[in-house]
Amino acid sequence: MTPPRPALTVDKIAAGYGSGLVISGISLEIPAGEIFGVIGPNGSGKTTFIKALAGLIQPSAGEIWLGPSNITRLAASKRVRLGVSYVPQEFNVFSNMTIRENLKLAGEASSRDSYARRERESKIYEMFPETSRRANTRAGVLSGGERQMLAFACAMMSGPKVLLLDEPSAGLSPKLTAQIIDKVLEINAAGVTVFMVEQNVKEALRIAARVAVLVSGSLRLIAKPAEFHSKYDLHEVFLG
Amino acid sequence: MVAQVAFNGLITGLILALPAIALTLTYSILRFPNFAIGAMMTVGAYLAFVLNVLLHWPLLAAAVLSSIFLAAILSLADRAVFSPLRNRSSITLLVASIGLSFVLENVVRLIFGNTARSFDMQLGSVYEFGVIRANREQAFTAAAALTAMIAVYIILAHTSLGRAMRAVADNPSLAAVRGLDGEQVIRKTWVVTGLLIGASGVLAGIDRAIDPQLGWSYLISVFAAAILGGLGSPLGAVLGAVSIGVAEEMSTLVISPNYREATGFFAITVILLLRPQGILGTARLRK
Amino acid sequence: MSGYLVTILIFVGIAIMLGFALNLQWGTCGMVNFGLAGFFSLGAYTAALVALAGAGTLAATAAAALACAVGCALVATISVRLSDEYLAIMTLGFGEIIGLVALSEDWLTGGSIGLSGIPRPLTGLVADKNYEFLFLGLIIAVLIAIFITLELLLRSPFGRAVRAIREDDTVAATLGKNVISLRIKAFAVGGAIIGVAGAFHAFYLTYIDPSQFTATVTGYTFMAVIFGGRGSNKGLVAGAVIIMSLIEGTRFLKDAFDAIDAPQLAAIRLIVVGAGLILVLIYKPEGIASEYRLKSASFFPAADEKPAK
Repeated sequence: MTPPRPALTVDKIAAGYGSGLVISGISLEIPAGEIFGVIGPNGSGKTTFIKALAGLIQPSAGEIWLGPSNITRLAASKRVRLGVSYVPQEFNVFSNMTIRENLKLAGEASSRDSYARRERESKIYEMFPETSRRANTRAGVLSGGERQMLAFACAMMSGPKVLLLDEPSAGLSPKLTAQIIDKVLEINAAGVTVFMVEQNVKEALRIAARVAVLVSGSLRLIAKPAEFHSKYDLHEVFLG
Repeated sequence: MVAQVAFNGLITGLILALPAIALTLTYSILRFPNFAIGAMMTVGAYLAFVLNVLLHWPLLAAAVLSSIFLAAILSLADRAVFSPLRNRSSITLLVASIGLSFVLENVVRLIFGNTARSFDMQLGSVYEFGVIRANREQAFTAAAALTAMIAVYIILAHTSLGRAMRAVADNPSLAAVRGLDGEQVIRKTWVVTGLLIGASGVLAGIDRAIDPQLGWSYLISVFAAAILGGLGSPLGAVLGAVSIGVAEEMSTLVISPNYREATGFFAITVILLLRPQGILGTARLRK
Repeated sequence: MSGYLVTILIFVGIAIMLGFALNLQWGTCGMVNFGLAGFFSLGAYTAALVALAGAGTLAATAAAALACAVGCALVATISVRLSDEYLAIMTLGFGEIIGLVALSEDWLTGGSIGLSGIPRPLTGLVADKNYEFLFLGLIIAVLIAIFITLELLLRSPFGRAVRAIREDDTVAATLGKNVISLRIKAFAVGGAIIGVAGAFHAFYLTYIDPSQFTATVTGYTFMAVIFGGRGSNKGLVAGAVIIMSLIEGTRFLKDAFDAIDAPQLAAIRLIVVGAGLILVLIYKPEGIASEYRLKSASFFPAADEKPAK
């Protein structure tokens, strides 16, 4: 019996802006249902990496596979239909639209089937109860934590198989961070594979099944959180 | 007397509102100021002229059909001119739009010559409201402009296309990762703006004579309206347009009517010096 | 026949002068001047009025250069802190106003009839029949002088700073205020050159009226600048020569096809200019580096999430 295909496969990708390469030679495989974390010092290329996966940056080398499909050359908007959903770190909701409009847009943009959309919409309202309470509030007046939740909800509207999160806890208090990270667990429990870039190492290690360390554009190691506590000294890994 | 002038200004403002909304939508979604908007209005006016005067259609029907034709022409123009330049700077697009305006205006001039024309409209009754008199053209203009504005509002606020347009205007990369196909939204934007510009061309042709310079003569005023309102805000465009319209008409009380366009230019200067983002907009200022 | 050739060369020379100006303003500094025709007419009318007042052609030329430099500086000052799109509309508007004044203020500008009897420079030096050659020589001399001045300017600290702005606005912005005053100054220098071109136009034709200063002039100058490769003066000369030849060449169309009358010919020319402008922009993408600076983000990997244009 052949093993199921990984949800996300990255094969030796390199990417950057203009003439410089920010990341190179990165390869990894993420099985379906896993929460996979990426940590690393500032400037290590984490955002470039996740943007390449989302389709906002074209890799200059390598391939990206979503399940059986090669999405390397696919535009960002087309990847959504295939099951990728990306939550950027900043500017991740449309501030001039209400919560409801943001969600409607996310649904309309990703699927033509209005029946399926409505079903998904009600599931999202269940998973994110705050959104229905304040449905007509402009997204721009939401607090950081509320905005992040909305961003998650919008990303979930497309019914993704793989969710890409760029530093979901950035700028949030420890209490809110825990709430956000718990939400990630909830999303994962619903069957979504999660690829998460995180600045907050503790939270990343708390929920991820495996964590990759990115330093200066290359993958230094991939290990289980337990191994980080016992085998690896993070300071050394980050600096080395 | 002043009230009459102000009323005339209101009508002028309503005429300006439609292309001002179109300009602001193009600016926020396509990311460049469309200098061909005047020439596009001219083409719209002539299309309606052909239907109304040469083919004897009633003006309203001619206006509707000519707007649809104009929307088609603009979609083609987008494919030919702006789409190949999609990733270039807004300056390049702006210069290309001037090139397009030369082409559009002069194709019209080549076919129809420079003689001024007018629509076949029944001269009608004059309505009186106290000290203000409104003629049939003005009533038609007001009704048409208001209908168009309400339609745009409904589209933007209550349809999925409107949400898509607002999303792309706000943050194109977020829109893309939410699944919106930017290129499709752009094409639909040209259809919406084409209809608006076509309608405004007819209204302009009613207000002034139809000649190849028609749209060009409105260009500065349209820009002034959109900039005053704040580039990117359709509501701002309407407010700006009415303000500029009234200002232009009022200016004829003190300076020669030859200098109408100067009012718009003066308004732009003042706005850029005092509050470049206009009433409701967010300008992209240099760092 | 040679008389006709000299006339064309003089027009090409004036077009090149306008091209040098736009190349400085737009090609090098990225500042769009849609009011070129208006400033050109400002230069021509100023020179004409000063010369007609008896002050001599040298003073007239200086006055024209000054008027245009001041006009450009004013317009630039208003919009320099904003993105260049605003400069485009400001210059367009300013150009339109100049046109309106030229048309309406009969007492000053002669209205649609214009001004005539404009004196010419250096008339005493040669016999009347050879004057045109002298004039052409004068234009060539002035062009060379402008070319050399511009080349020196670009190699000077001023020029290096201006090119730094073109290359990367972020880096240049750290220079702070300098960026703003540099742009205004560069725009004004371009304006002065336009003024000189206007003066020569007035002297050559000896009569000017508003119909000579239409958007066509702005159109072909842009085309010449893009065609030549923005920023490059040598390329510009080649571009201007090609375009003026095309334009003057179509003059013969009128004789060949009786069906085409003058306004139609003018319309055809403008269609060619407009289409040419678009085609050149699409197919000749090598232009100033700032074209691509925005796409390639910057050297700062943590660059803003908001998309560049």
